[in-house]
Amino acid sequence: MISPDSSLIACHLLQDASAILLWGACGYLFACVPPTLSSVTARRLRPLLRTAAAALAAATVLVLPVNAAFVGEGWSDALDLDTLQAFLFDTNLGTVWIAQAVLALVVLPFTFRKPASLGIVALGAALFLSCHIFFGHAVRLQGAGRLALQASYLMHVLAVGAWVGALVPFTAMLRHSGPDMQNDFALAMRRFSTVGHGVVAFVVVTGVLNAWLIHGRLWPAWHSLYDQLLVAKIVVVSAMVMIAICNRYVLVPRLKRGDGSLRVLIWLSLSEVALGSLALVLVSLFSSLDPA
Amino acid sequence: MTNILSTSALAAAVMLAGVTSAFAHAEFVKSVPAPDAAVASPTEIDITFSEGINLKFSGAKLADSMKMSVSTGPAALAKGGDTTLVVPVTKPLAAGEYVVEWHNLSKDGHKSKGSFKFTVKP
Repeated sequence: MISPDSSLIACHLLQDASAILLWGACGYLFACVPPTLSSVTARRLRPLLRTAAAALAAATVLVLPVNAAFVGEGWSDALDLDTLQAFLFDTNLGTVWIAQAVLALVVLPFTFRKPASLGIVALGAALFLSCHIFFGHAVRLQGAGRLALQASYLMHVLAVGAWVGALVPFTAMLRHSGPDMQNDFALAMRRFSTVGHGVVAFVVVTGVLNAWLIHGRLWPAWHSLYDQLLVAKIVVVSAMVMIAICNRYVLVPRLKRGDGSLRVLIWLSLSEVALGSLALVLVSLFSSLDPA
Repeated sequence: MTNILSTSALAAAVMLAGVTSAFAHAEFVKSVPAPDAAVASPTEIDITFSEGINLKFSGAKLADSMKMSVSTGPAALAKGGDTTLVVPVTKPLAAGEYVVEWHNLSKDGHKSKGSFKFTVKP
């Protein structure tokens, strides 16, 4: 029998992956891509966006009984009314669940509209991710430190999501780029690059702040499973950053030559998405461990 | 290029450090009576954790040296914070060794448990 702990990790992983995709992909298409290209790309990604929204809603609904089993005495408490009630109304985790459930269920139908309401989906997913600041490490501190950390963590989560999520429509546009929408495509790429630099810088600044506020150090000690998983993730994300730099400064300038750079760029961007997913899996694994 | 690479490696490391401890545990920090202390019969047992806890799924049991449980009042959080659990001791404790077994659900969603002993002086 799978333990409530492991099930909770799996549910959270599914929630976070879906919300990141919805926020980053829809946010980018809504804010950075010219309307015609945006709607064409959104139509291509429709099955993916709908699946993500459905997964977000399903995982969020499931999280409630799993949480009850987790805080209670095991699976027998998953549908126990007293435990559910206590969890929902007497813990901060229950309050967060209510907010996230409302958001997930509101976002879902908007992905089924034709065309999908990209702005609303992006906003809903962003708010969903923002709920992390009420139960993640951000609540470890007390007083003013907690507020600073919550603000910093909020920016951090959204920046990470914007980066990884936006890569999906970006890659889709690369694959289908043709002569018909060259100007739109060039504009969308320039904005991806401009915003991308800002987003990564934001991730770095807020990351420094988070690490400093929480650990008082920036580098992992090496002795625990937690640290080993963390180091694995550092390797994965370092690779992502390298690929991003290579894409921007080596491949993109060569695109006009038509020498196969486009294929490599698509392939590398997809690898970046894959590495981003792997990083998320690693986070969800070590998130259940105590960093101390 | 080397510059860009080293900067980005640092950036990645720092970024990761930022998301390392999304969930941690509310660990035991201190208690009154302190672990292994010899004290006069206490009127309450205070246990402070490293982070905020949810009272609803947190608590502590007191038992004497014969492992007989000693009844206590309803647990509460200390005023002005959510990191200290206060368990009232309703009757004076006889001299001897006592064990406190605590458990908690931290605000960031993790369970933790542990125990400590103290001695009531004759």
